[in-house]
Amino acid sequence: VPPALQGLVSGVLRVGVGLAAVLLLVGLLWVFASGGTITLASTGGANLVGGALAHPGPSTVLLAGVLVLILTPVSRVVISLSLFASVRDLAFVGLTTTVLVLLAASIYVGFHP
Amino acid sequence: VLSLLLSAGTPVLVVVLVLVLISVAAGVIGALLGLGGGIVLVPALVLLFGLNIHLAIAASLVSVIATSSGSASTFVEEGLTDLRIGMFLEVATVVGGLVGAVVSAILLSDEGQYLVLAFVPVILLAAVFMYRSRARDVDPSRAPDRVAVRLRLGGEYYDEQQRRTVPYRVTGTGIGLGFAGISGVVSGLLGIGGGTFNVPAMNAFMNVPIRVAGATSNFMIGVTAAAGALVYVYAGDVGLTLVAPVVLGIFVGSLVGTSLHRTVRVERLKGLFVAVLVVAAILMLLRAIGVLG
Repeated sequence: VPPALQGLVSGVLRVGVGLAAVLLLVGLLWVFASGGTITLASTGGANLVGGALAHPGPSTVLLAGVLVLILTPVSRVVISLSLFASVRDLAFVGLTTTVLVLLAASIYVGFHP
Repeated sequence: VLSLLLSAGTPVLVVVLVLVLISVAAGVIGALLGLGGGIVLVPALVLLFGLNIHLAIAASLVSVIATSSGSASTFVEEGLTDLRIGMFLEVATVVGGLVGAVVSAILLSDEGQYLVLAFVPVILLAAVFMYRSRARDVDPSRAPDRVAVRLRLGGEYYDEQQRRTVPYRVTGTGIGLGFAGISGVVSGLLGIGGGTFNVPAMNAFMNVPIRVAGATSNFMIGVTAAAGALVYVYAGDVGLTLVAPVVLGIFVGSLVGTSLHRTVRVERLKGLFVAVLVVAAILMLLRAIGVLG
């Protein structure tokens, strides 16, 4: 393992989770402040994302928090890939690339069921 | 009883407080037992809150990313996580996570009772693994298999209890990949981490020390859950106002649980937790077959 990897991975995970937690807390407090309610029904993905983007407000901040959280482990895969590439560890370049392709596939599957 | 809280007249603040409390409890229990919060959280949300299981699973999956990434950052820093083994097995857990989430969120979108039913054996297995958890010592003389040699898997870690550096060589990569795939499917399907299956498999079949296996599984769980969570976002099961209190609660709970872990004699609580898990499994079974709510 490239020595730089441990520190970078650890840092990215910490910052990502911290940022997501702040966004979720701010969004939740904003829900309270604006007299909103807790929605406990499935909305349909297009509504979820589209609604949050079309009407900037608490749900936009909450969606940003959720997306930052989901992208946190994804970004540590990207960092690992670049570090494995820099030390020419081809087997692990292949493995991390495969994981990234699979993650991209999950976005594709999600939006094109 | 708590489902009454979801009636229209309940103040938002009360609903959120109850959600946060349940999530904190799930986080504490998960961290104390090394189960991950999901296996406690989803049944709690479904049984106590009367929540649609798809929403509970999606909220749990998102919160799993937070708890695993939070503790993974510490384990990676301490050098306990084996990044190479993690990134190798991740290929299988991510495929599994994706498949599980597609089955759960898309194919079974109107058949939640099957997911409730699927929880029963998973909770019971978790109870069995927890009760009989015996870490197997690694055998440093075991020869690594071909894939492990090719990928240079294996290494050493500093064991605080034994106060020495423990070397380990990796074998059984094929069966390890298989279990990683299964744990990924369970994760995506039910919104739990999957460490319940992954950690014992890495220890028993791949010759990985239990502490390294735990830290490495934890590291893999984040990206596995991310693959599943992306599918749930599309399916519309990620209730934003539900996810926020759940994630914040379980995250705080897991921090508390981790610090309690050093002082609480977990062994003495095991029987109680096994009983709670068995009761949860029975209630989920009754709910799945329509006897309960």
